[in-house]
Amino acid sequence: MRDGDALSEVCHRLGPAIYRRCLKILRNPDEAADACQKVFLQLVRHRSRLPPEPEQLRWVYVVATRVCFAQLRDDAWETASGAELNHDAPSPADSFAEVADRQLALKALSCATEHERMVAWLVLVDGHSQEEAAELLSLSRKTVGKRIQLFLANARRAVFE
Amino acid sequence: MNAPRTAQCPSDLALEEHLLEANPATARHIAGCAHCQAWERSAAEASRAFAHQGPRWIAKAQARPSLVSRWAPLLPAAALAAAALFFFLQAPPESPRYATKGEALTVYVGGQGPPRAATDGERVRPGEALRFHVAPGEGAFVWIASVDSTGTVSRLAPAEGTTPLAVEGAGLLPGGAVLDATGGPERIWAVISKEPLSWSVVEQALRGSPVRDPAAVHIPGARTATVLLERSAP
Repeated sequence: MRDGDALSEVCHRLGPAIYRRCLKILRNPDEAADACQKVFLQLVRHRSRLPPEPEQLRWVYVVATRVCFAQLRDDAWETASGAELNHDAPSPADSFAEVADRQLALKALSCATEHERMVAWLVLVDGHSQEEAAELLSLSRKTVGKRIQLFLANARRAVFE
Repeated sequence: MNAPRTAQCPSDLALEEHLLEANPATARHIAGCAHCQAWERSAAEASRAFAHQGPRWIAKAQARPSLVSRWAPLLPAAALAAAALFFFLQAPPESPRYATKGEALTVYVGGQGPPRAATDGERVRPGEALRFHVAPGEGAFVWIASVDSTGTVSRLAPAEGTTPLAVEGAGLLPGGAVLDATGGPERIWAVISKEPLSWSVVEQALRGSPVRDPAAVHIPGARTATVLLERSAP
């Protein structure tokens, strides 16, 4: 199989997972589409670093996560509002409790650094263990633990004070 | 309202892996978990959305040339420009000036390594580039020329035109020269005058002058400064 064909096969096989990942973090189809294309570009550029098939999903999952958080950061610079998750507007189907929870989460996220957010997202939102998050982000378990603690401490302060 | 995630729920990545390759344990969990069933439904919905647009995004990403290949045609020119800038824009080093008759001429030699100010009798090699700095001290006209061991005169700056360069105070002159493969001594001359001299006057005065004896050159109405270079054969 030619290099281009192999890459195309990877993109088509993992594309839905990449899009889902972007949509879950960005919660906006247009922005998820932008992020998804950025991930494909990364795949094209770094095709030589693509791991063997069993690890490819994990690899693109991390790339997509990083791309999405970078996009959130860049959006924050563009709007200079610091409220880069504002596009996560409640839909009419959301219940009052869901909206309240989300606003609380946004408040907590808004006072965290990008690194803390990513770790917090993987562990608290995606349900990864700290060990898994550490492995995905190539960090030590200790660093992940520290970042989670820092994130939670800042979040509590932001929410309750 | 979506059911909340439980401690038993597989991670997002594990659920994605299950979609790619069914995992019996994950399947059993999903069957009894409202949160993961909702995850599966939203995953299916996102997959349908991707099916509409995704192939176009993939084609677009694959069609887009890489950053390197987009700029590749300009890379050789950029490299040359960078090298030229490195040599020509680098501040002249503080160095002794070798001059005669009270006028300063500094010859800078650029090749491998940083540019250097040539000392009198400096060994230079083919391919090295020369630039000239003169300091007449007041407004003056300057010709830069060279004379080789046979007495042949070469005009170096200005390379074209009929009038010499006007220099106020001191300055690095525009243009320069690149040494060819000729070996032997070569004397660089700065001919400095209050009034512009024609090139023919300068050439006539320098032609046939002994390369190792600068005192032998006299140009009416002009002062001179000189540096001797020793050109080594390739």
